[in-house]
Amino acid sequence: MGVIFRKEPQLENPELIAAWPGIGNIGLMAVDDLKGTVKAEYIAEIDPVDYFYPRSVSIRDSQLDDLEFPRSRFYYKRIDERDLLFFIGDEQPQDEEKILQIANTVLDVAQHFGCRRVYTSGAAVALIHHTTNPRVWVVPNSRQLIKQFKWHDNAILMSEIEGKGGQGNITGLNGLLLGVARQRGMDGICLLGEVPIYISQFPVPYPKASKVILEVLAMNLGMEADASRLDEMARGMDDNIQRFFERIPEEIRERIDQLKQVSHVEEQDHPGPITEEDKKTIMRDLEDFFRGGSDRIE
Amino acid sequence: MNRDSPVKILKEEGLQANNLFVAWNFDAGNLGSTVVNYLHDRLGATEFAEFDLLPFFQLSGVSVKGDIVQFPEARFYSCNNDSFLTFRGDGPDRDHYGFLKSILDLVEHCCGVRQIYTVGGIVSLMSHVHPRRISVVVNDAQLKDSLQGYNLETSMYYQTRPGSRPTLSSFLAWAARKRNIGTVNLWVEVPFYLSGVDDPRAGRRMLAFLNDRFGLGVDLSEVDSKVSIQSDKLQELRERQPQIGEYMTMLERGITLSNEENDKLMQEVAEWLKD
Repeated sequence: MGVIFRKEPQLENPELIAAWPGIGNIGLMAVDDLKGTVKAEYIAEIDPVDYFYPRSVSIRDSQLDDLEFPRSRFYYKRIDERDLLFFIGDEQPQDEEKILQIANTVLDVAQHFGCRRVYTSGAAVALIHHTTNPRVWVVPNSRQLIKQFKWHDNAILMSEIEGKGGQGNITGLNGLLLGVARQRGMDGICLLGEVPIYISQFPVPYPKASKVILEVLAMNLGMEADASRLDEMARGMDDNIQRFFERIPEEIRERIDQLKQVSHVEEQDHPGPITEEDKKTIMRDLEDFFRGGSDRIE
Repeated sequence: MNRDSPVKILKEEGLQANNLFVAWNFDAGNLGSTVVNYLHDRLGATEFAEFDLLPFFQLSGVSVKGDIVQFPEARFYSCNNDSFLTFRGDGPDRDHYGFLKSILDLVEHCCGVRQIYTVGGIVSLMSHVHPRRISVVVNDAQLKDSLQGYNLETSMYYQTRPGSRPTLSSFLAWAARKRNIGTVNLWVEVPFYLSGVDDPRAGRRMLAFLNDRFGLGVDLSEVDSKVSIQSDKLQELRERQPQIGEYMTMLERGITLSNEENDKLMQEVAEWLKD
């Protein structure tokens, strides 16, 4: 299996919560926050050498000391009578074959501990404004899970999103893990936190989306969510976004502000005022802005 | 080697040797492949194994470098000297560890190799008139002792910087250590403005070390001649272009050039030496 176990606790039907880096590290930040809050204990690691190129080397006095690889680690915590298994990966493998292999290895370990349900999480790039409260798109790997899911006010199915018709793609391991889980007869649910399309293009976190994922996840795990850390980060990020927003040309700002009119209620019944053409225009304007003078942004 | 191995053996005889010299294509100054090709030419070489490229390389098209179509290669050679074998190849695009394991499987199980020497060039801010130093990284402390007396730099400290990643030679040394195969990474300095062209002086330094270490008896007169020709050409360049000559003089005095000056020097030298 290529897994190094540090400890093998006896777990009872644990639920696996898995996360990898992705757009804005939306899912990773939520899961990492939860793992830290419950003080989950490190129990196992996937041997990285078959999946990853080393990140760094240290050489001392002309002798190769060691290589450091991206980590793919499992943690566990028992809360009341409930066992939680966490998986956090520093990176996703580069090629498809390895992605499939690592997905199978993660689920091998999960099943080894008796796990039957898996959660993954990531970003949903959405036509929303940054002042809008992001929602969580819930994507289960079987229809019966829709009824079993505990529906938070901000959680929706893909079919409830205007223009989606319940269709879409979940790239990388957040999606593939659920597909492989389904193949094995395991429940799987992906939670995708909405990120404004114009923010998703930049390598910055969007803690507001992570926070709502945390809330939805905690509700389904029967836990209280402590979102204080993410709240604080979200406030700081909001300030940064606002500062950035005030420095972009007015015409681009006005176009982005059109997204304020896309309310979640409107979206369900009527097409919002933003068209695909508007979306392309916004992104083109932003690209032109950055290409023309990235030094204008701090 | 089992039938599923991605390495195809082309010749079964004469594959036993204690040492393997490894050269990756396209390092600074094309150092590795220049050195191995020189040994092949002088000692005679026969290819005895090659990699199946498909598991390790993107083959949806070809790249073009310096106007020439490129295609990956990964081949093993035996020479008319039973102390060493050679591997010359491109670094893989994927499954790096699988690639390195396959090299080690072949040379350990079919050839009895006990030590590996990787041969590569490393970019330096030095002047081309300065002697080339060879820095060494070993995967076993005892190996370091055996390398004393060759005028090598054996007190290197290094930590990968953010945005960089370890070399394939470091990865190979790490993987070889798991099998108790001693590995020496040899890095010879190449002045930055010769890194995109050949640096025969760096090649000569490496060849001289290999000659001493393994008693190869390889005649270095041809590489000496290339050193002399390149030296004359660079002298002519500095006379024709005083600004470039000034940059070279500054480097000789240990003065660091600005980025613009570095770029200008690289560009002019590459243009001047391209024929």
